[in-house]
Amino acid sequence: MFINWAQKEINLKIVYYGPGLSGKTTNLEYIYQQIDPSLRGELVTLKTREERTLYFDFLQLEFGRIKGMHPKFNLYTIPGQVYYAQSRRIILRGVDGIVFVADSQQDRMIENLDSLLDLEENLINEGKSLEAVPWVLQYNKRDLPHISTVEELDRKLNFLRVPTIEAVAVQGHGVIETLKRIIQHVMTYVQEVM
Amino acid sequence: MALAQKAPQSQFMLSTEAFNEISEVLKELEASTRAELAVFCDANGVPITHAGKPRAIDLTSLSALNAGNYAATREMARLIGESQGFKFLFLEGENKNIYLCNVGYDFLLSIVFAKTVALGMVRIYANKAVKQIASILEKAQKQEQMAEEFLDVEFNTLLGKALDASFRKPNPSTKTGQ
Repeated sequence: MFINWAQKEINLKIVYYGPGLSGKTTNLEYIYQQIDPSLRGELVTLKTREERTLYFDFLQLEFGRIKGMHPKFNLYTIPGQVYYAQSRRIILRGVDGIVFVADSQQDRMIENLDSLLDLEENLINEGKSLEAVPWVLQYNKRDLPHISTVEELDRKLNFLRVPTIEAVAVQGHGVIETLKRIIQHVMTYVQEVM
Repeated sequence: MALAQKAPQSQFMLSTEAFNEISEVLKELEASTRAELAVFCDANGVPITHAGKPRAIDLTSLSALNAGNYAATREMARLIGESQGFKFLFLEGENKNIYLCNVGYDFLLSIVFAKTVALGMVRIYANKAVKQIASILEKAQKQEQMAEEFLDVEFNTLLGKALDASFRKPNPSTKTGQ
């Protein structure tokens, strides 16, 4: 969190984490399309030729003036592929809240678990941990066949009982709800630790 | 500039006084180097203050990319055994260049300048500015204001309302847990 008193700005960093192709960039693209254009910056994307996230996507949102301050939320995605480990570590630096976008398909459970473990390791490197950072779980791709039940996803991924949201990000279902939940969660956490 | 050997801060508050002093340093830097733009941002890519005429330059995106770029090269330095990181980054274009360096561990300074300006001159004045800003920040850390004054339950409620009002159409129905 960065507070600039002269500009009356409070900046918070939210990172969308998760395995490759789970829908992290799709979340940001939907938010970009749906939010009032006067409240957002440009959607910066660093992609490979195959349209996969190479480094990160970035989108800044602001919600006007609240109690004399301008809260700004800087949303980042990470590249999900296993071999971009260094990039993920870099992007997590200074994170205030995390959305873990899990792929609900049964055959992607191992990738979800690997990515969650990778997240925990990277947080520890930053002197943090999943227990000490506000995060929410988005169960994405609920419209596809052969998906795990919410109970099964809860059992395997939600061992810390964080808020969960079912989503179909390509259709926008659950995307804004996820954003609202993580922002609420981060703000509550900030109050507690202040 | 060598990297300070300490962990990054997760929370930082910049006083109005420090902001004004840093803005003055940037103005001097811009004038001395005849730069088009000098931007001071944090290492997470949040633009803090700038001098010059950004015109069509999107400072928010530029700062996010500067931070990503700098962090990536710091990892590259680590991989080749350069534990102190690189002293600066220089991006040379056909008409414009960018000079980028760190201010301690938590902040970055980037300067956009025309091809006609000598890199050596930019380096000298940038080094001077980095020292001045570092000293301002050190002093500012001892005079942090309290954020509890406004970050309360009412703030969260108002933010929630602002969020609800910010999207174009009703949110499709969703199921949530916990």
